[in-house]
Order: sequence, then C-alpha cells, then structure tokens
Amino acid sequence: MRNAADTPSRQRRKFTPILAGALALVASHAPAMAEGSIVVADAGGAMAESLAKRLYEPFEKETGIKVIADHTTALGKAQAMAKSGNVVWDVFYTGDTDVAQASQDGILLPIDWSVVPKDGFSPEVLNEYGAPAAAYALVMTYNTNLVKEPPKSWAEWWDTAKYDCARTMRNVPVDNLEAAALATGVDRGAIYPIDLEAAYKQLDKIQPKVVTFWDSGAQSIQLVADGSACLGTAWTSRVTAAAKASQPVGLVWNEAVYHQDYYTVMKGSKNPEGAMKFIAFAMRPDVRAGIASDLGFVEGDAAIQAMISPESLKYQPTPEQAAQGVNSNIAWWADNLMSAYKRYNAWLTQ
Amino acid sequence: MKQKTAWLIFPCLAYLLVMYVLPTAIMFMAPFEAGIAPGLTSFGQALQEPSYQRVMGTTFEISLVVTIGCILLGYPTAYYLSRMETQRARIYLMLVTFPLWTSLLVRTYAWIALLQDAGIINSFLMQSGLTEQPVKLLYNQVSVAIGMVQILLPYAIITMYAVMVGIRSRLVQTAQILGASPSRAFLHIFVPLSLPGLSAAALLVFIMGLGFFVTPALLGGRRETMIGTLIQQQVVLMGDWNSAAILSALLLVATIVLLGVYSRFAKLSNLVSVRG
Repeated sequence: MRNAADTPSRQRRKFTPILAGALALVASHAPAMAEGSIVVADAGGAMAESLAKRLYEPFEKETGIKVIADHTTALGKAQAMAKSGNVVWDVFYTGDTDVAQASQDGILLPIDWSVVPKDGFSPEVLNEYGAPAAAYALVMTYNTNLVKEPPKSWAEWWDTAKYDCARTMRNVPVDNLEAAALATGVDRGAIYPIDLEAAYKQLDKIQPKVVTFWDSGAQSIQLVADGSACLGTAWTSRVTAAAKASQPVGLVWNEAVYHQDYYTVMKGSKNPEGAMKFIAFAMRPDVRAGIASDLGFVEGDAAIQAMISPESLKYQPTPEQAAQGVNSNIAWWADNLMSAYKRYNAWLTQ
Repeated sequence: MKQKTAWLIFPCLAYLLVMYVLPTAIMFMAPFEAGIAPGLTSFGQALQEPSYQRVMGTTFEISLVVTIGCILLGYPTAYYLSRMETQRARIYLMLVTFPLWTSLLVRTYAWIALLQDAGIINSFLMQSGLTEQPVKLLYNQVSVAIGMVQILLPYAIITMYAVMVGIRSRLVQTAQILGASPSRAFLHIFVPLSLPGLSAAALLVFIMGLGFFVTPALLGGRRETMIGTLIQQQVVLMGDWNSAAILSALLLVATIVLLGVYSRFAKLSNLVSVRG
C-alpha cells in the first residue's frame, strides 16, 4: 500500500484535499466501527462452520460485536500484515509452533488475563501470547479393512515384517521426528532434545515403504481410506470427521503427539478490547464442548468432557489413553524449526 | 512506437508496475535488508544447498517431460484442427478449452481416482488379465506428468493452432504437384512453417510448468517436490520469507535466462504473433 501512494507529486497535490477529507471521514468513523467488529482468522472448512455456530453467532448476540471471519489463517499472512503495517486481523487462530514463531517475531499482543479466564488450564498449555483453544494430536492411523490388529506403538508402526504394506506420513519434520524417536525406543518423557541422527536413521528405514508424504489433512485420510497406504498418520480431528462419515480409517491413541491451538491477538489490532472479550467468550466450557463435539478436538477437562455429545464422546481419548501421549515441545521446535525443515527437505528429496 | 495510440497501453503498464514490478522488487530486496553482503551470501548459500539444487533440477526435469508430452499430443491435434473448416474448428477449439473451465484441484483429484491401485485403470488392467499386480501409476513422476500435461495441453494446442491455421494448404499441395510425396511435402513445407508455433507452445508450457505446486504435491511422491511446493511451504508453514524470496528469485532468473536462450534461436515475437 505504501507504494500505491508514491504517485507523481503533481497528482498527489491535486488529490491531497480530497484525500485529507476522506481520511478525516474515516478517522471520525473509525472508533465506532472498531468497537463494533473484530476480524477473526480461522482455518475455514468444517472448522469455520463450527466456530460460526458455536462461537461467532452467540458472541455477536451477547456483546453486539460483529465477527468477520477470514478463512485463511497462515503465519506467512500474519507476518506480511505486520510488516506492511496494515493489520486486518484482530484474532489469529493458529497452532503452537506458529505462536512460538510469531511471538519471537513480536507480532502478537500479550493476552490480557484480567479479561480472559485462565483457571482450569495446566500451566504447560498457557502461553503469554495465546489463550488455549482446541487440542489435537498427530496419531497413527490404519485402514480398518486392511489392518485387523492395529499397531500399539510407533515401533510396531515401523515394523515392516509385521505390516508389509505401504505407509504415509506428513511432508514436514514436525511430529515425524517425534514418531521416529519413539520408534527407536526412547522413553516418552525423554524424547526432547530429539536425537536427530537416530531419528533420521529410523526415517531412512521406513522411507522405501512410504507411498507418498501427505501435504494436507484431506490427503492424509484419503491415502489410508483408499488403501494406497495401510498405515498412516493424521490429525485426530480429521480421523474423527472421517470415522463419522463411515470411512474405513481408525486411529491409535498410544504415543499420540499432542498439540495445542491458540487464540492470539495481532499487534496492531484495531480492536484489542473486542478481541480479548471474544477470546474470553471462547474459553467458556459450553462453547468449548460444542466445538469439540463438532470437530473432534481433544478436551482433557472433565467438566467439558461431560458436556460433549455422546456420539462425539467416543472419539475422545479416555484418561488412560491420553496418559499414553506425548506433548509436542514448542520451545524445542521454536529453536529448531528452520534447521529442521531444511534437513527434512534435504532428506525428503534425496 | 510513434503510434498516436501508444497511450492506450499506459493503464496496463501502470497496473503492472504497481501490482507486479514493484512488489517483485521489494520481495527480492528482502534478503538484502540486513546489508548487501549477507544478502549475497544467502543467495550463494541457496545455490549451494543440495536440496534446493535437487528441487530445482526436479522442477526443470518435470517441466521438460511435460513440455515434450504436450507437444507430442498437441501438435497432431493442432494440425488436424488447422486443416478443418473454420466453423467446425471453432467448436472443436471450444472443446479443447473445456477442461480449463473446471477447477485444477478437481481435475487433480480425479487423476488420483483414476490412477490409484484400486482405481479404474488398474481395475481394468487386472480384470482383463493384462497384469496381476496393480501397476504403480500414482505418486511418481508419471502421475505428475500426466496431471500436468492434461492441464497445460489446451495452451499448447491453441498456441500451435494459431500459427498453423495461417499456413496455406496450397503450399503443401504445390509441393506435391511438383513431385514431393505427401510425407515429404509435410516434413519440408508444413513442419518448418509451423516451427514458430511449436517453439512458442513449448516455451509457454515449460515456463507455466515451472510454477506448478498443487499438482506435484498431490500426485507426486517425495522425489517430485517442485520449487513451487517448497516456496509455498516456506511462506505458509515456516514464515521464512527470505528463503522463499531467494527461491522465487532463482526461479525468475532461470526463466529469464531461458527466454534469453530462446530469443537467440527464435524470434521472441513468435510467442505473440498469430501468423508465423
């Protein structure tokens, strides 16, 4: 936008009065407009539908603050906005690694915990710049027609003698390195810092069996559902949606790698108060339970689990299953993200 | 250039300047923001990065295969259409452009349905007894090439048709009257005259192919990672604008070099001329 203004000076002079007038008009209306609306960046698709129903509409009704959804949440876009100075989003819904990167970049506002309630959350999921939204996990998946006895651990998932069929995994290092480390037999509590040499050696072992490395959540399900791979990896929310649609995809809760999504507020937001109010609303147990019911997000809190619809509850991990998981370590990933991607891409394309 | 109507192109030029040239320049400057030397170093490092070299190589290789495929399929089609009476040719050309009306994603997913192990093609092959095991058609270079050829073929056909339709049949007939066999008349009269169209189509398809990212991501395996996929990953997943800018710059420079080489062998104006 800065460049659009760099028109020849002759033109600029002519337009200056008009521009000034227009600006004055906008300025006089801006506060009223800002108070009345917020822009929320979500991931679109089924998620946007659920958020609209469970969160946006009731929030609008209660507060009168209008929610405008932008279905293109991406770290790159948030960075571009911050850099150009034209911050359109107020609330940026995103994953844990993005929050780590974005807070390092200094493009987020700290959450106002006097407005947003933080009780009920364990300290490890709380973040200075993000209020915990949904949790999900990267899990082992299997084709329920082809695999009668699903693997119980990543080591078994890796076992090509027991499962002599194709695999699929994601085309980024996140979670794959954890899975590989667990498959080498490292204790669940001791995988960070990840032993990269051992992890890549483990990845080398499975690579010839990988039919393709998936790029999108839809692909992760399609590959296992159509039998191109008998064992795969996917996000729990995707598997839940697939299972509800009677697709032959099952999941294993053992050694799941858990992630946390967050509501964050962009620095430069035109309505930070509205954004904080919105996030406070999103923390309500009934709202969370509704979203978790729709989308199969994991809710650890017993009070919220009690409100999840029965047909969705069977897709939630039991406390015993949840205890078998690993929490993705954001701090490790924040420090290693770039180098991990570089090395993984080099490994992938060799 | 002394035309009185030259001002007519100003709005378009201004648009390109503001919406394309300036943003591109700003993006390329990003790696230099920390100073010229670090910027140059990061470009140098990118050139030496083995994975970037491989992805660059893959990108050019796939584009080349796709270009050859489009020419092999498109040339006879364009020839056939160009010898048709204009009214009928128009209908056929509409049919050629028909696939362009469908979303690229839909067409790419359709190929997955066709090519997968339990897909239509493999079911047919196995039921007819031609093969016992499903033939590996998906998640390799073959499937990426098939998917990309289908998307780019209309561009190749239309570009070649535009040149071929300007070649008079009488020239070929004259050669035959003078004693040349039909195949010789075709090879010595028609083919040389159609070369500008062929090279323009090849270049167009090749350059468009370099920028693909959805099709190779969905139809390819790990070895078919193209530069577009990597750039998208760097921006969307990593927020690594510098690396993305460097890779984009490499791609743009490679394309410009290619246009330079092309212009040495053929007139660049062939790309846009209707008659060869």
